[in-house]
Amino acid sequence: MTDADREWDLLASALIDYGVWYVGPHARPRGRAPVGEELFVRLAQSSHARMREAIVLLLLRRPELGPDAQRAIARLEGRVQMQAKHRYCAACALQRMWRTRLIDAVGGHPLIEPAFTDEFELPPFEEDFGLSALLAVSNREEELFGYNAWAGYESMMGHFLGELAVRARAR
Amino acid sequence: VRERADRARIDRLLRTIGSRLRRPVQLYLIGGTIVVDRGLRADTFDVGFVVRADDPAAIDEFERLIPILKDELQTNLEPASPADFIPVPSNVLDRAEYVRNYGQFAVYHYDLPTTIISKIARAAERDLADVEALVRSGAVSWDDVESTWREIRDSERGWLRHSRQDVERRLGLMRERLSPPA
Repeated sequence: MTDADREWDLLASALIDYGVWYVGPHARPRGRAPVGEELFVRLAQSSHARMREAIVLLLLRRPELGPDAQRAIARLEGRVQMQAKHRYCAACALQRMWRTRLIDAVGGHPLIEPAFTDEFELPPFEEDFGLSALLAVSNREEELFGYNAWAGYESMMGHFLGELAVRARAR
Repeated sequence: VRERADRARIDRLLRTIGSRLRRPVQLYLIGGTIVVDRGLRADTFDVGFVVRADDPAAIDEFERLIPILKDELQTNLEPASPADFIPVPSNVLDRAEYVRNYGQFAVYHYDLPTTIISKIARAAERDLADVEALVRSGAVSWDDVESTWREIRDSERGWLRHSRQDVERRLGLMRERLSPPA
């Protein structure tokens, strides 16, 4: 097993511990799974796109970790930091877009504390239920990094909400 | 980079399609595009549609045109249907409301009660606001929504994205949201 495999398993286990079944570990990992701020740092620095994306889902599932995410982002640099900031903003927007479904699946949670809105000149997260902000964030990501962020967030939310619904039915 | 489509942009798109098609085609607008086309909200990201034609060559012509117009008019056209997510009445397209035509290109609004149920099934905040707007404006009666739900709820097939139980529960939430305060 390579270091990259071990890191994947640790991060996947850490996400599952927080109720995020987005990626699965290949094997039960040895060592302690990172939590809070440290988990956000390692997700953002992961070489796997799905781990980096999982920042969004972790915030949606556990919005109270917003301050941990902000502290983690402050520790990052360059492109990794910039992508993590965008994902934080995307989580803020997506939570508002899907509030009823999220409450239906996992109960009421606080709203994620807005951040980086002035830096990115985003519209308020309340505007059009978060759609305006997500559009602005996605367009910025596409311009800066070249990928279709909007399609990525749509696909990720479809997967995440579907998974939450299945687990809610199984309870 | 995505842009929103308001009513004028949607109309320009439909007019352009109508001017370029040489064979009869029926286009059924779906979801948020209907809400924008009815003037109940300002804009949408995707112009969603279902297309039908008697002549397969007409569908072929339409499908060749769409990618060209997406670029030309900077509008995101998305083939999509409530039937991709939940069961729909067997004659759902025959229930659509005709709204206008551009030459041989006829434009309809997909069956509104089915549209409402599919929006409640997905239940994004934007969907729920659209449902409220459609019902409160009188565009669709809630009795018709309930009647359509009774038609489809026992279907054994078609629960492709949302389960019957999930839709039933979300319909309950919408009934509460629409009922006047006691």
